[in-house]
Amino acid sequence: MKSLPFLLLALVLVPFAQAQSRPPQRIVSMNVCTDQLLLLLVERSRLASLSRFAADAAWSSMPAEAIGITPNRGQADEIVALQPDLVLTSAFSGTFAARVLERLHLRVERLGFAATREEVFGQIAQVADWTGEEASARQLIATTRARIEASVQQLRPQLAGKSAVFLSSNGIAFGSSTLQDDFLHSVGLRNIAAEAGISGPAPLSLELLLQAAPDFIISEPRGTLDAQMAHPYLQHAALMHLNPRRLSLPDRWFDCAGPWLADAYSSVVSQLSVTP
Amino acid sequence: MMRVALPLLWLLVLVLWLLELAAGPAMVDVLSALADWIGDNDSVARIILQEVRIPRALLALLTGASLGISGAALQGLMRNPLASPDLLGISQTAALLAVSVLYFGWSAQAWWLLPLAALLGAALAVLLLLQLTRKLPGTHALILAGLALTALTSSLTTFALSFAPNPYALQEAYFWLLGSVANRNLTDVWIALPFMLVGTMLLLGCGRALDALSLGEDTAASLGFPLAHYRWRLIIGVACNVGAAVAVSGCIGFVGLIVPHLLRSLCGAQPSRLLWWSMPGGAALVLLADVLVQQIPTGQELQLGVLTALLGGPFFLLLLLKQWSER
Amino acid sequence: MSTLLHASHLLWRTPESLRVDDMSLDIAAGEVIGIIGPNGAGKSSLLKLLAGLQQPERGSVVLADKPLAQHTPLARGRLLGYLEQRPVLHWPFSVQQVVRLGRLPHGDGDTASGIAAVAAALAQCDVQHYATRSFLQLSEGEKMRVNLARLLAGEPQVLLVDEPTASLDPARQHEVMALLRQQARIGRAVVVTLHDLTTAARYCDRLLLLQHGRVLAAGRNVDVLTPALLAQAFQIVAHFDTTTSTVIISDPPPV
Repeated sequence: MKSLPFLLLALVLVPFAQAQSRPPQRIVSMNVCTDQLLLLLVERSRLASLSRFAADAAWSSMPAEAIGITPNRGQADEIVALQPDLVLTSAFSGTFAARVLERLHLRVERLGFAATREEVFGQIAQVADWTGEEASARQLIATTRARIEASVQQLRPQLAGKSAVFLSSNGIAFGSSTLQDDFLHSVGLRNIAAEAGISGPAPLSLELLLQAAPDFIISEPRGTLDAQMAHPYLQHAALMHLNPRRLSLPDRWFDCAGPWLADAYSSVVSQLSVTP
Repeated sequence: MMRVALPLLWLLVLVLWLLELAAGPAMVDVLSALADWIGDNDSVARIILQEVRIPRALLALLTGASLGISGAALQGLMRNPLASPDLLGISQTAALLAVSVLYFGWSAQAWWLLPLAALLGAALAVLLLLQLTRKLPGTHALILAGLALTALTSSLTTFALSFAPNPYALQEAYFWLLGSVANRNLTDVWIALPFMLVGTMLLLGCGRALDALSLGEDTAASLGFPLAHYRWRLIIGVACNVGAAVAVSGCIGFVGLIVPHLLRSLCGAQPSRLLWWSMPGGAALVLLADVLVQQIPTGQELQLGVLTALLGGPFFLLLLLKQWSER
Repeated sequence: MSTLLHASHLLWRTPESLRVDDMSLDIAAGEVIGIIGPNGAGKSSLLKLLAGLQQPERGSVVLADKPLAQHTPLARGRLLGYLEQRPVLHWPFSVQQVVRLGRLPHGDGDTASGIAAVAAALAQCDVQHYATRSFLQLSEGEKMRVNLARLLAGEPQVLLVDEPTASLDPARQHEVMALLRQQARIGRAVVVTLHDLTTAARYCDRLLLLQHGRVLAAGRNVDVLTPALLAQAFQIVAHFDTTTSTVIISDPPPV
């Protein structure tokens, strides 16, 4: 019975500990990436508000799930009125609003930029940690990792030694230190944008693109973002001569960390299995 | 001297055009690319030359020539050396209508809808300005009207772009408001060329009328050149040229202002002669600016309008200072 | 003497006033017609109607046996020469360039005949030694002579000149009027509006006195410059002294 005082102490203290570590109940997200991770990991009742892009199929991979949750425009006054106990945002946008919220002693957590698969898994784990959903995160990460590994095994033999480039609108290509770069390397493809010296997302001259003559050009599926000026390269006559294989992957699978990265891999598998 | 000088100016244009062909970021031996073309050899160098550099160089030349002659015509029509497509908001109005047609999906219906929209925008702006100068003659009124129109249309353009269904449209505001001939297609050349040709022919036919206008509207009418007979030709000529140029390369500033100004003293201030001279003058300026734009090692290629302003601005300032000190 | 220009019952109104009311006149080759009258009488307006720069509401102008409207602008420009009241030049031309503009109706500024006509006009107005100078830097008198040279370079049949003596000193005024008379002598018709009555009396073959848009009197100087008419038109007490060929204005009577 020597340990009785400690047991009693523990009994008294446990409720306190539980109160301190109770996960956030009113979560607000100001950024489409954190929106989606929250929708994946946390039950709807704990989500007070998501950004207005969460329900927009152009930006979000889970637009349907976001319907019914109050959207916000990322304005500090809106957020405060929601009385959140946790605010999630990106490290690169909404900085002014975030600072205001912090000064009002609200808990603000910022999600950074994922440039590799491991960092993607890291971000899932990070959001889980903030919201107290570590278990579901582990499950999700394991599944995603397995799916990716399976696709990689199928793709490596087909793609080894070939080259590719990811093109976004306005001639922006994804060079080194991007998730797209990691994606290409993981399946054995050379990233010609990185080889041309580009770091991060930056414009790639059409001439350099032609000179590098990639085997694959990966871009948004046609029909979305179709304004003429936005894709000057993709419709350029010069590409007709080169005739690289075109693969469609939506930007949003890479812009935000999430299990849809595995969808990107499997999409490539299915696109390649269709005879060109 | 003047007989020799105009062909020399075209020679300068040719030299700059060839320089432009050699000026891209990829290391391409122009001569071997040409050899490949002649020999029908499908090398990368040939593709780059044929599909990327030649359209770009052609467009720079055509745009420059169009803006140059438009500036000369506007200055002759308004009898004001400050009249020009970009200073008076004419280019920007063309851009506004072009943006509206492009981003809301209508230009896909027919190839000529985009330049036509730009043309209408330019014509509207010129009409507005002409109406204003009749009520309020003088440089101040004209410049203020131009400033107001420029401010209004530039902001409306950005406004329209932010409502466009394409979420990346707003980034393209830079292109429209500052101009560029990068990544253009041969198609763009074919779209712009007919309008530019028509416009240029109309304007060149008004040379004598502009000469007569040097003496004022009444005297010009008495000499057989009533402005009423030429006004529409001038408006449509300017609108065709500016509209076509803006539709394919955005608002390249300063060309229509600087070129006639610089060349005026070389051709005896004769408006009809200035029309002929401003074409190679404008072409040379835009080609030079585009060659330089490709040399400057910035991460993102600078917009052409930035360079024409960098080249044109100081020249203009020097000119103003020189005129001021001469008074 | 042939009638070169025939105007009948011209009526022209602007929103502000009735500028020209039922004016008629005939202009023949070889004569200088002076149009005089107080400000707002319609002198410049009449000239503009004769030049075809304005369309009359009623009445017609016939030039060389054809209504004015039926001439093409260039044909009209070849027959009529018009010099406005305050001539402008918008660009820094040389004297030669200004005078060369006079050949625009003929379209031959660069040909031998055109160049000869320009040279002749420069000589007639005695400005040939200014040919390469900048127009804008000349004195008023010199500018007026150059403007007249521009007019003459077109070799028109009819000269319509609006207040050429307005800003000139007496010696220059004489030069200009003498030049115009000389043009009439060689067979042209000259219509000139003047504000100075003595100049009008001395140099014009016929006078037209206008008031309020109407022709008050027309005829020789002695017939038009009567004390009664002068009093009516100008509200002055004056008479025309034939010996000195001057219009002498007495002090107005005390009110």
